[in-house]
Amino acid sequence: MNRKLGDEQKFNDVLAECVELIRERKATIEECLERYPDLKDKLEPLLGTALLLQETPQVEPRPEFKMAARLRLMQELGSPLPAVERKVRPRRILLRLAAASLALLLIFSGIATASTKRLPDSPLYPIKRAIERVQLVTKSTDKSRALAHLSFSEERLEEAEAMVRAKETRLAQKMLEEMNQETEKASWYAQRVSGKDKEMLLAKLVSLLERQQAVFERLFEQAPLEARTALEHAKEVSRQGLEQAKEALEETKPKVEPEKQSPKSPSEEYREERKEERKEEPPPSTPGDAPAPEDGGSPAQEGGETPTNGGEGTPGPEGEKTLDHEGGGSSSTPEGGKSPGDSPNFFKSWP
Amino acid sequence: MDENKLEDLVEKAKQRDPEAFGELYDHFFDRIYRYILYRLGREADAEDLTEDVFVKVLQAIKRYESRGIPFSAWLFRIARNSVTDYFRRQARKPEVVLKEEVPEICESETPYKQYAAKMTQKQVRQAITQLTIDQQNVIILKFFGGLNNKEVASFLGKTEESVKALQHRALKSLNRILKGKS
Repeated sequence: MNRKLGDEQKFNDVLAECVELIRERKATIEECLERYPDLKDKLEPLLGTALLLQETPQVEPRPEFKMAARLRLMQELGSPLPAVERKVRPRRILLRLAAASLALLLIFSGIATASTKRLPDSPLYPIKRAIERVQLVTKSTDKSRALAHLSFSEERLEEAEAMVRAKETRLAQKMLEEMNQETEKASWYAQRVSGKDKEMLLAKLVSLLERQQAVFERLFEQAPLEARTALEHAKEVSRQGLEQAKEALEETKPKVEPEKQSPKSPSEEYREERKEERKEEPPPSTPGDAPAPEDGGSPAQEGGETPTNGGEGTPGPEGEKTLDHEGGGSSSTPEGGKSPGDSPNFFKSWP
Repeated sequence: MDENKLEDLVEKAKQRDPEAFGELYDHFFDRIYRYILYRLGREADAEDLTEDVFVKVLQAIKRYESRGIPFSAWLFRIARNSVTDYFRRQARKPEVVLKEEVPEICESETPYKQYAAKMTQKQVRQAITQLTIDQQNVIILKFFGGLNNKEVASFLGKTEESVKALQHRALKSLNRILKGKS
């Protein structure tokens, strides 16, 4: 009995050790099994399951939500000013504000310039990403958001390329995943725009995806073996995206006349085309050009979710009582509509 | 993030330093969100609850003292308490049926690999919900929350040995469940 218990404990230790090695990518399943050949049969399926968990794509919160929640939290952090501070005379406040702005401008412009070309392995890289997040928050239209995500996708591609060359496989993989995400977001916003803007955005998207394909081709030969799977995956996602983007771009172009009509003379066709064109030129205020998102993600519909606020106190760690925040957990986001990842179709309704 | 830096940030955050709190937020937000999402299975509610957790952290951090409990374990405990409260509130609303949200899987036209990846994610999420609560906590915290055995032990108030045993049983069950599905 004791021996059985001892064996069980030993196995738990071995399993935990191997799981840690696999999680930290310090060993493969095969290497672990080589270390403990006696336990191979028992270990193998469990390590396989651990690897599956490890390789399951990580769910990410929507970046827009994360940023908005951060801003709300920072407001909360800064709001309760001490009474003395509130009594500072207005002129003094203005002077302080001016000084703080100047300081921020000086510091920020220096850091921002230094960080914009930084790569993911640089200590200044998080600043670059923070600047991107701020840029995104300032974008108020679908068109400007689409353009921002296109630009970020391009950045991620360049970074992934640099990381492949530097043999930083994990960072390269991360950048490729993020590149695909940015492209998906760009395509989603592009679909919400109408008219010429939509055509322009889709054309840019097609061009970006074609560039991605070219870079993948070039990189594949130079990439270390362990980076090739990630490259292949990113390439496949990008290829499918390209096909869909091309289709969508085609759809924005004028439709060909139906085949069933009887043949017409060129002059008849021209007259009909002009007639059609005149019909298709509505006054600028005509609504309905842009189809509603297929996922129906209007703010009103999102508002239909069950709110989760308003419970009583929550027993905190160590028996503490932490108060529920009333009204701080709204599900509204700075942008209406559904988010990346909410919808099945990458291109048509969300990435 | 190494332990010293984390300690330093926590100390500064206790003094309501926005920069330090912002860094903690950036470091833990995704992990807390994942933990809550895997426990709840509903994205919209997971977002609300994650935000609530950080508001609670902001209110309670001044009272945090290490005393052998890593900050990450303390933070995840707040998340766990919020999840418990959530389920309690839902239980008082019998008309609300709690079920796994799987909208992104059905009728998908996404590229095959994305589809396959999402299927895996869905299957894994559903399989995890069939484990005991302790086993769920171990798996979610380790594989999606990035905690090590020591931190998980501290979170659960158990020894590391118990965590290893829970991990063993959880992996065994998951293997069986996922095999059955495939």
